[in-house]
Amino acid sequence: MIISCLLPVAIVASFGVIAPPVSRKVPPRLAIWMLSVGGFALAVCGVLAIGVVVASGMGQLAPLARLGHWSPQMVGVSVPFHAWSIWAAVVLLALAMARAATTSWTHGRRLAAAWSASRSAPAGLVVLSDDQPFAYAVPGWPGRIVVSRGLLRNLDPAGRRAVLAHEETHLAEHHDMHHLAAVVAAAINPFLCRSPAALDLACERRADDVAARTVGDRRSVARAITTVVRPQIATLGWAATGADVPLRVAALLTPPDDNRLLTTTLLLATIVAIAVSAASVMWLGHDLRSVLIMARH
Amino acid sequence: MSHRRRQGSLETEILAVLWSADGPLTPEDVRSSLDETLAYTTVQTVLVRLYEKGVVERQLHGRAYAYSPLLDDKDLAARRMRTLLEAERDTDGVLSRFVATLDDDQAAALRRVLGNEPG
Repeated sequence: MIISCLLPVAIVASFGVIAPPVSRKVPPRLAIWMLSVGGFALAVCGVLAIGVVVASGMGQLAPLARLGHWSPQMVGVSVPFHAWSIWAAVVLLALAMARAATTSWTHGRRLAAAWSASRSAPAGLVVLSDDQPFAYAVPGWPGRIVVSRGLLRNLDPAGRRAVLAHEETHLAEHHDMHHLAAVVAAAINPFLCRSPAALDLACERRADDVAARTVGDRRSVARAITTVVRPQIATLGWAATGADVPLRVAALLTPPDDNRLLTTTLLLATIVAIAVSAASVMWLGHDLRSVLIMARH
Repeated sequence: MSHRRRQGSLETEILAVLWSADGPLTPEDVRSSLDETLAYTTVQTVLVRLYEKGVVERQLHGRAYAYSPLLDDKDLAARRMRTLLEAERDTDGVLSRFVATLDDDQAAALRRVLGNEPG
């Protein structure tokens, strides 16, 4: 029982350490799914494993035992967890739940605001009359692209097309949902705290790739990126993904070679990790159920 | 699905062309500004649809209509988008921005990368 409880936690911890740096070396689409859905599934398995430990502690509470007609002493003897580890699990579970709830709430509210703003726009493109060049994808059903007049004036037709194709990719592939999954997973499990940034970079790389394919030239996408970035230096203090820009430009100028072996290995490793985690959790649940059945009177 | 997506992105692109122009454009002007070859009627259909949505205005130029974007900073959508962007500035939010601002180190790194660009 102890092993099948520690396994999902150990898996999610090693995923949190290994996946973000490795995700840069594989095709962005795999990186996106691995970090968002893979990370989320592993985080859920980890929290469920802790949940079973908490449940095994609750099974020793007299009122609950009376309700289920089992002996709390018998449960206490059969469950291999110490009182302190059960209390630690209670604290961890409460923290994970609280963080997941607050993150989902704040993020969900922002998403809802974006959706409603998107709905109010009659066309796919909203142009703001700023001279600063900027471009945003605003998620929604369908999402909208917001650009400044300064951006449109600064770009040649190919660059313009590249920026639009880039933002359209974010919207069409719902990168906002992947981002939400990664952020909530990181809230559930702090081991995954580096996933959201790695995911954002993967999303940008993916959108850059599609833009490059649309325009037919990787170089013009790199140029579009630098057109947008240059006039902004030191004028606006926006944080977030600035560190990604040199990486993205580098990836565009020297496309990473298609490392089939690494890609396949990573895909398989992620699938196996999820499968082992899920199996451990089910095993754990099954064990707890057996303990409760044995303790019946 | 792919057809609808294609139409949507064409609409976006034509709107972008109208916005980057200095004056009103006829369907033929728009067609020559796009860097892919499209049928005249395709461009015209999109322009009419944009006009019906109230996103662009048009006036008669000889025998064809010339289209220009409606300055939309006062309209509801633009105002809401602006509020949204302002609220997102400092947070790790839900909007994907094309690029963020660089600090000096990052700008130096970018120059290094571009310096290696052949040609």
